[in-house]
Amino acid sequence: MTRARVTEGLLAALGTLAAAWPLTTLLTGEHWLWRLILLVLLVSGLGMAARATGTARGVVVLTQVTGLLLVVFLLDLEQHLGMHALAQQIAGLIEDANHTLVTYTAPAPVTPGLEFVLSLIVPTLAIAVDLLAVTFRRPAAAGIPLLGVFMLSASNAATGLNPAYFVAVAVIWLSMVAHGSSRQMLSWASTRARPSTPMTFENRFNISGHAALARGLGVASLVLALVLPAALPSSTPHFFANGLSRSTDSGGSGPGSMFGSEADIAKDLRAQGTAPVLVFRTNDASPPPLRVLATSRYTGGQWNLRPPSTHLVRGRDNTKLQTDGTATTAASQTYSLQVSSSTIGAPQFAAPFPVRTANLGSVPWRFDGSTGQIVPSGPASSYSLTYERLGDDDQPSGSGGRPNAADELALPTEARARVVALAEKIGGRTSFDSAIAIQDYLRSGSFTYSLSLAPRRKASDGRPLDPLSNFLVTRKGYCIQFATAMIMLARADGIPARLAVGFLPGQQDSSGAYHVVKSDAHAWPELWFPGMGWTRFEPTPGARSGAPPLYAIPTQPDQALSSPSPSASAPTPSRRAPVLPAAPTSHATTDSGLGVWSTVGIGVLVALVILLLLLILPGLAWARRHRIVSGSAGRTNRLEAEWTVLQSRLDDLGIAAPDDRSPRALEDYYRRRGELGSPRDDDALHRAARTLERARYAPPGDRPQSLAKDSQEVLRQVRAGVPSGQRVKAWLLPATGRRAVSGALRAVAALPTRLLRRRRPE
Amino acid sequence: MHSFAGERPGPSSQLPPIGLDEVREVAAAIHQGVSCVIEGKPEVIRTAVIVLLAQGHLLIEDVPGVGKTMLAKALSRSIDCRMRRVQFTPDLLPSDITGVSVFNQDSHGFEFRRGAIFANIVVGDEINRASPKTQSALLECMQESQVTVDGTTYELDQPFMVMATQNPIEMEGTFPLPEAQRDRFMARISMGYPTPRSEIAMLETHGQGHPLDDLQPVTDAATIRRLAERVSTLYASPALRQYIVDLVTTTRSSPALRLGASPRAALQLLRASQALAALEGRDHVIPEDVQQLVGPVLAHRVILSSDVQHLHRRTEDVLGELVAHLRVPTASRSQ
Repeated sequence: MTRARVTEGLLAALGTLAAAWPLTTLLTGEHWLWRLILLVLLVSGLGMAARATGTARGVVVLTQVTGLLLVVFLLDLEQHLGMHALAQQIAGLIEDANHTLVTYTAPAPVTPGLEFVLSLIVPTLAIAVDLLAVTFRRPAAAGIPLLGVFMLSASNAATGLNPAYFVAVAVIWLSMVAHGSSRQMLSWASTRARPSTPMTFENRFNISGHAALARGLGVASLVLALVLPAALPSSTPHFFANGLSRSTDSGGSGPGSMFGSEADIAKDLRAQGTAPVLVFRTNDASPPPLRVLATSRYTGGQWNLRPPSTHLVRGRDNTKLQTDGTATTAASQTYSLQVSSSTIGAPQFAAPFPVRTANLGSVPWRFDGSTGQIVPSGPASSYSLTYERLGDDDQPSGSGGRPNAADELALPTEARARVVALAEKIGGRTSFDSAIAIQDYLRSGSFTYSLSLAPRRKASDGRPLDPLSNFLVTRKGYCIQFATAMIMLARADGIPARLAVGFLPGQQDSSGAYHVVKSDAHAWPELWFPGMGWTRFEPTPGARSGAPPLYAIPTQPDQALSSPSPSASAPTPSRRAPVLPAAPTSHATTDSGLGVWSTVGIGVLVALVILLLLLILPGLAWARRHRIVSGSAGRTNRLEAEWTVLQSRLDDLGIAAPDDRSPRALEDYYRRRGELGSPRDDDALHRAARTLERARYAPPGDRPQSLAKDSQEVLRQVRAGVPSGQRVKAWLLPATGRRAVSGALRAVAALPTRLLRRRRPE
Repeated sequence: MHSFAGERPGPSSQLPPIGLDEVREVAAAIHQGVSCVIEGKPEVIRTAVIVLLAQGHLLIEDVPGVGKTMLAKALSRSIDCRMRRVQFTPDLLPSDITGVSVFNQDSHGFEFRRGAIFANIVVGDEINRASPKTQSALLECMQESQVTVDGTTYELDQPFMVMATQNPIEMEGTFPLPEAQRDRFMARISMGYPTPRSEIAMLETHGQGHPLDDLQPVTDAATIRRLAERVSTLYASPALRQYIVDLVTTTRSSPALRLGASPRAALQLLRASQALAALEGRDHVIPEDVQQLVGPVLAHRVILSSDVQHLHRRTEDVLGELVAHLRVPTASRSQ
């Protein structure tokens, strides 16, 4: 049984499961968890069995991997036995898992694909843990795969993980290390090591000293790992307590790229924060959404949201920008917009489309003519620009398609048939009519706006539906799904279309400035028409989307829509303009005033804290001595207490109190250490030691009164002999206080040992 | 039937109580006298005096010719006591020690002939050469301070002290004292060879005549009895008694020792410590007294474990280490 290493193997399996435990916060359901437990136990058991036969280490791992693959494939892939079908099925499952990960925020439902991937990843890491900790007997190194399992959850958790998860993994890992190390130490010698004349009983079992020390270290580092991040105020603290959130929404203040994937938009939409991402003013009465990204590439069921990297030209402030695929109609108007604060980090940049001129101040920037995106090379927190808006009654003019529109007309193969059929059903006389019809179709009541997507349905062939088809079937989604559907339906009708991602204009405050918050994140389609260029549509229904642009409303413009009529736009800018410069100054003064006070306050606070910290050790020393004196009743006990106090004071002065010795031995010791010279009968130390001796050993009736005076004299003599640094140390960092602290720590560290002892009395 | 109780001196309580100063002076005088004969062995003489005052018996282990018998003679001469010397041989009979009843033709009755034990100081030379039967006869007398022959009990004179010598070499045909018997001796000392300087001085003094002849008694048996009485009542505080108990307990639990100290050892350690304290004119025992006597009083009673024996460590050193690591109880803890 020793070759199988059952204890180590079970510990390793337990460690992997503990590391996988926080996955329960990310995923719903329980079925997958039982499955993971069984699989981890399976690979662990296979490892034990293989080791028990004494085969090579490679064979052990091979057995575990083979067993795992066999069981997982039998569970998930039982219907199909052909190699090709098998590969396709695996690809489908992985694609499904990938989609689940990018679509859902925590807690996500566990789709078959995700379950399949999890049943491969976690037991594989379990094999790695088992290999390192048990087969190779390097439990410390097994911390790396364990951390890998833990990071699966920690890095994906939106909110902080409960520290209990970390403690569970850490405790099991430390036990693995402890178990391995003690086994290693016990195997050093075949006979039990023992000093020739063991004097103290702790020495008799010399191994227990090391174990207790190691246990103390483990507990202390665990406590530190939990306490220290919480105590440190700066940087990105709460590492394990908060999890490595993928987004920067812990404070909403840090600049950074807003949109990295579709999941980010979903997360932003859920964000509760009221910290503005963007504050701007414009003379446009109904400002359009501010675009951050535009993309035409849709692959594998999701949009490619990477920032543009080609076609960049250097931008110059206040020069007219030429954007491909835009047109100026007779009715189009130019508006100006000033952003006073933006937390959107480079290279992303929010602006309405199409921008005509831009002024980013000192920040150099480049321009992508194909999408009309401005790419600043540094953080641009305030900037001004002008943009153009199509007239409300604009219609496409001219004819012909947009050249080089392969990407913008591409349909996803997996959903092509469904989309084309639907587009034909919706129809429309002209392509512009079709676009409006598609928008109306999506805005009609048959679709539901929801941040949580419907579970994925299965197609007739048993594979899960692709995201677009799933949306068209389940009719439930948020802006990304609506925009995607409109784009693909439009492309099916031959209209070039692309996705724009950005922010709705947000709320207008009393001073006329618009405040954009995170949950104003939005995605919408842009369709290209001859004579109009790229034209914005709004297929997303509900309160959290915008109203459709007026040109995209076919029949009555007086319909009950929230946007004001265009005529109101002219007078508003003049009314708002003077308000603008006043605000920052007043803010600045209050800020600086507060700043001074807060600096002083923090200084005082820090000084107070330092003072308190400085007082801790002297306070502890005083308390300990006070307890000794006050706890002594009777003359003999009082003398003993006074002697103990003298010893503790000498300890503070750097002369450590030895174990209980006889008074004469102590006198010799202190005389030597305190350099008090040869003994004399009138010597204070001699008198004090003899007083103590008589108190202890002389017949009753011959009890001396007190040694307080003699101890004062001894302390005076010793103090005169020690260096001044030692004297200051005796005041500020008395050894008595330090011993009190270390005693308390040792008591805490010894707690596991004591608990173990109690459970298993020897 | 003769009773020898009448020969015993009256109880010492009739005399005025003896002061500690007197104890110290008398002990110093004995020491002074004996050291004229035994050169350069103050520690040995001191231990012998302590054993005398503590009413114990002394075991001297050493090679022949280092002055074992001389020590005994000098001690008895100094205190003006009767001294008997018994050379232990394999054919020595128990009755040689205790005495025997013989028929007296004149009085037509049995008369008790007292054996060698009827003395204040009995020197048993090479005690390990006698048969175990004879040894145990001596040891019984030592323990009981009385002799029982033919159903009659004879009290022994006080002070009564046996100084037995043992030759650690030439073990052929001997009966080394078993542990139980050794336990009856309060202390064991070994004389050791004198230092070169002492040896030169010895050659000088002994060449002119025997210094023993010049030795004048400094006290008498009655005084010694009173001194012993005073010593036995010397104060030992609870803290000190705790210390002694801690010490013997440590010897019993120490892995370095196969056999620890007996309760009798604890008692004799206390007695000896009292004597030492009195020798220094102190009216109470302190841990230093105990520590000084651990070697002589305990070393012959404990047995080293086989591990430690292999390391050729002296029992005295092992005991010294035990004492060095033992905590001294404070007054508050022992109460």
